[in-house]
Amino acid sequence: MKLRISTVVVVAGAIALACATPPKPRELEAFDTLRKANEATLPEAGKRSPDLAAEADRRSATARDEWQSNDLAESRRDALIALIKLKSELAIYEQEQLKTRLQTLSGQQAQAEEESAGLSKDLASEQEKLALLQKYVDARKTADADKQRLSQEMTSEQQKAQAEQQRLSQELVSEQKIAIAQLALRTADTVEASKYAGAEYAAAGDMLASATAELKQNDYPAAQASAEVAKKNADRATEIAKPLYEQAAQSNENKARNEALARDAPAITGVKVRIDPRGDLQRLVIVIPELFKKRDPNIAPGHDGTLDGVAELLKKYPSYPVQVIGYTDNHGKSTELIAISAARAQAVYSALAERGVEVKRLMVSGLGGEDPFVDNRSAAGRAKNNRVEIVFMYH
Amino acid sequence: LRAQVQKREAALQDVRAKIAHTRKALQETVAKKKALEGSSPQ
Repeated sequence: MKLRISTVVVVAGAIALACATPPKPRELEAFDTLRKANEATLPEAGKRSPDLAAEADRRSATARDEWQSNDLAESRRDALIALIKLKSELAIYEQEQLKTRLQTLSGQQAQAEEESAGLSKDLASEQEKLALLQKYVDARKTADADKQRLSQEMTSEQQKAQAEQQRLSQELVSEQKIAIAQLALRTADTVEASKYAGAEYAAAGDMLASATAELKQNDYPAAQASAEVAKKNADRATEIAKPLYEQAAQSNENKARNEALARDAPAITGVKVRIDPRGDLQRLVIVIPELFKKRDPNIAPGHDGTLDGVAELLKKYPSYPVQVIGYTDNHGKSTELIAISAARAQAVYSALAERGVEVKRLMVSGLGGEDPFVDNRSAAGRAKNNRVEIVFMYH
Repeated sequence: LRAQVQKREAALQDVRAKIAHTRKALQETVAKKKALEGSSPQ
């Protein structure tokens, strides 16, 4: 009994197994997988290749039926064909997509190339401008630096020049003060200050020597101070010496003039000259003898040359006070002789005035028979005493 | 075609990179120029 039951079970199982659906062919599985994977693109792919899509659908349906019918070999063949058709459909679609993409990319690349070229051009242009600007800025910086350097150099040179100018100015001032002191000293020399103001003159000379030495040592303030002291001393020496010198000079001049007068006077023809000092007063006496006849107050003829000479001498020496003194011999009354002698002096005075002599300096007098020139005892002596004397007076 | 597309995409990428680089360089150049103009002595 038990055996019968087991056999029934086994047979029933075998029948069941014989009647069940076989496993899905792997080609059909591959087809389904591919289709599912491209589910999104299939509508578009089908539009591009409708024949292939339809054939793939038909073959896959057939293969599915054959699988259900357990006709595996046919199912696998049709599923494989369907797979090939589907792949071809997808490949064509992909190819078209790629072509489109390629075309798009070409356009984009061309556009990008164009943009790149434009940008490169702009960049080159801007870089060129930048380079030029940089060059300009560098040049300006260099120029500014040069300018600043030159300015500094110029300032430095100016400072040096100013210092040198100041030094030269000080040197010049010192030299000028020394020159002024030298001039003052030379002025002092003109009045012989070394003789008449020895101490001041020596001090001036010493200070001038100091100033000169200090100038050589470039010690300008000291040189200027020394020169100023030297000038003061020299001026003081001049001040002291001048009146003394002038006095001496005047004396010398007078002496020389008196000597010249003493030389010139005897050169006049027809006169006798003598020096007749009286105390401090010196008298140069020009005697014109025999200028008158006996008691005649008028000048005897033949004496014009002598009077001309006397007149020229008076004009040559105009600073002397001069006496014109008339004389007679001693024969006669004294009052009468004095009157005659005064008239004779006046006659000579007039003759000299006629010859251009400045008569204000002439003092006219008559002394009669006083102070005879020669002895009156002889007629010749008396004739000589009838005379006029021109007396130059000086100290 | 895929290879061509990839190659073209790579080339396009290069060009775009070049564009980006050039644009950046251009911006930097313009900025430098402006800075120099601003700082340059008159």
